[in-house]
Amino acid sequence: MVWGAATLSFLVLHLVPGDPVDIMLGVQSTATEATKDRMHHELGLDRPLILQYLDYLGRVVRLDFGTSYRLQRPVVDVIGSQLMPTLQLAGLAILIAVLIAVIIAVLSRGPLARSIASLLELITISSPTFWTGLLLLSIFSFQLHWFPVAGGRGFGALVLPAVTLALPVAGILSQVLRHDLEVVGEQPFVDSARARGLGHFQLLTRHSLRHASLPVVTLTAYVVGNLLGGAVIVEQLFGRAGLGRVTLEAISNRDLPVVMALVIFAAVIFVVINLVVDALTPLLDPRMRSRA
Amino acid sequence: MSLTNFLAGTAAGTTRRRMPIAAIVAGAVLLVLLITALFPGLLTSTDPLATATSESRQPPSLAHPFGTDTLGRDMFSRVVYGARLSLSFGITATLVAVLAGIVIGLLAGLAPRWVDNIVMRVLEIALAFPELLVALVVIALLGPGTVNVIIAITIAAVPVYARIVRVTTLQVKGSSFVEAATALGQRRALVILRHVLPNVLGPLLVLATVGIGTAIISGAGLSFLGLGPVSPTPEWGLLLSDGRSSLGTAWWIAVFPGIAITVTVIATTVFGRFLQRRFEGRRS
Repeated sequence: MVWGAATLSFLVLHLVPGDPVDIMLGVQSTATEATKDRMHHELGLDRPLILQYLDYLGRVVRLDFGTSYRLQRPVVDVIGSQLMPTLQLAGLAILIAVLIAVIIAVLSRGPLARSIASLLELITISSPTFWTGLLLLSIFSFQLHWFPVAGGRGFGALVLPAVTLALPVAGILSQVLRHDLEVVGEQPFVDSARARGLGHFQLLTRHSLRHASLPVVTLTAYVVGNLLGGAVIVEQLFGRAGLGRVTLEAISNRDLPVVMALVIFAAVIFVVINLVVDALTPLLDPRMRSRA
Repeated sequence: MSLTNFLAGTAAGTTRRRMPIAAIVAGAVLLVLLITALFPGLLTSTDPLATATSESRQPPSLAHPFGTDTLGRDMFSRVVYGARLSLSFGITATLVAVLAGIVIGLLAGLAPRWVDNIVMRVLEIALAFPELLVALVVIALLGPGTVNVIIAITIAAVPVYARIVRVTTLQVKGSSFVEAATALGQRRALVILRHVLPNVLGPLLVLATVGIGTAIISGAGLSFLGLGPVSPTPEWGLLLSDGRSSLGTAWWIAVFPGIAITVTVIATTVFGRFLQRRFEGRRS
């Protein structure tokens, strides 16, 4: 899949009209045709496409994504230096999302609570992150002054962006989790556990949640994808540094080596996550072990 | 995987009983939105572009139900006029994506195995990424702009529709009535048109309704990032982005366009789920 993504982005890059040299030079450049030709040669853009492709694949394997057109720095450095803020953001967001989802799923007993829960989920999923983020900023930063408005370092500056990013994910997770809990509730082992005298809460923590968490775990790749996409908007909204910022800047400037590296980076993440999920499922579900 | 699938797919059983009323309300909201987008002049007589610096940053009042922005423009009329562009992002992109999805899905489902395999590989790669990221990459290649935003959302949405058309086509292809039609000597193209396509349309309609909501969010998101239309064009995502800078002093500039987006998306989702239930009820 990583190879597919790399190939696809290579093909698209070369099919697109527009000369990378023009992008590097900027709009107002007065470079002569001779200078442009020399730059073409230096970048290897005058060689046959298939050679460029093989060369490109070789460099990708060695984690060499070339140099950013705009920043004139190796792409790996650009991405590497912005990785941590986004990881922190996404990590905290996942934590918050799972926490909210579990709380909603566990608390929603009875028809009224269920209706409220499903309404909340509908709202969180339907609200665009750039709007919830603005609302949170408006209430907690401008009115209540609990959190810094934008930028800033440390944990306080991380809370609102993470919550913003977490809300839609929490809505989706809670929907799935609630549905699974309902299904689990009809299983015979629930009756037998009740017969042994387990209360509702014990039943949940010891049996049902573990059962119901399985489908949620398989959603991880989707959730992470959502967070990566959301990070672009949230980082812009809260003025944070990070991969989302890099993505947006690369896109606005048509800095294609950076864009391609980001696509490949995302593909690698998805593959790794799917591998981890496949490895985790047997741990959660003993039934999968015998089959494997 | 995509948000569209999620909104349409999960928690189907949880809201069954309340559905009809909610669906009516959602349908009514959608109708009003559609009328708003087509005839914004019916709802407001104020020009969304008229500036009045003496009335800048007025809080919501009778004269300006949604307040005014930094240049004194009436936010209510800006939100009303913004409906056209924001909705057309969602509707145009979804329509084109559905059509492209039908063509690709039918071809993949009916073509020889190796063609199907190649098409599915490409679709799977695209489906692994969230729609917003795919759209962002397309924007990176095409450059920013209103039309490019629509193209980007369309391309990002096609795989979802192509996949469901392909799956349904494969199911229908093996069914006895298609076999019967072929045996009776009907031409291949006619069989596809008469027997395969109608069966594909049902699930597609459900997905597309919910997909409009997703596409509206993507479109507004891209313009929020400054990759779509430019100021002073009224568009919900752009209005939100404009409101960001005066959030501390004038919350209403950002809040009302956001409500508009959220209400629209909720309405399409609720209505889509209603259609889905109708559709499933008929089948089983």
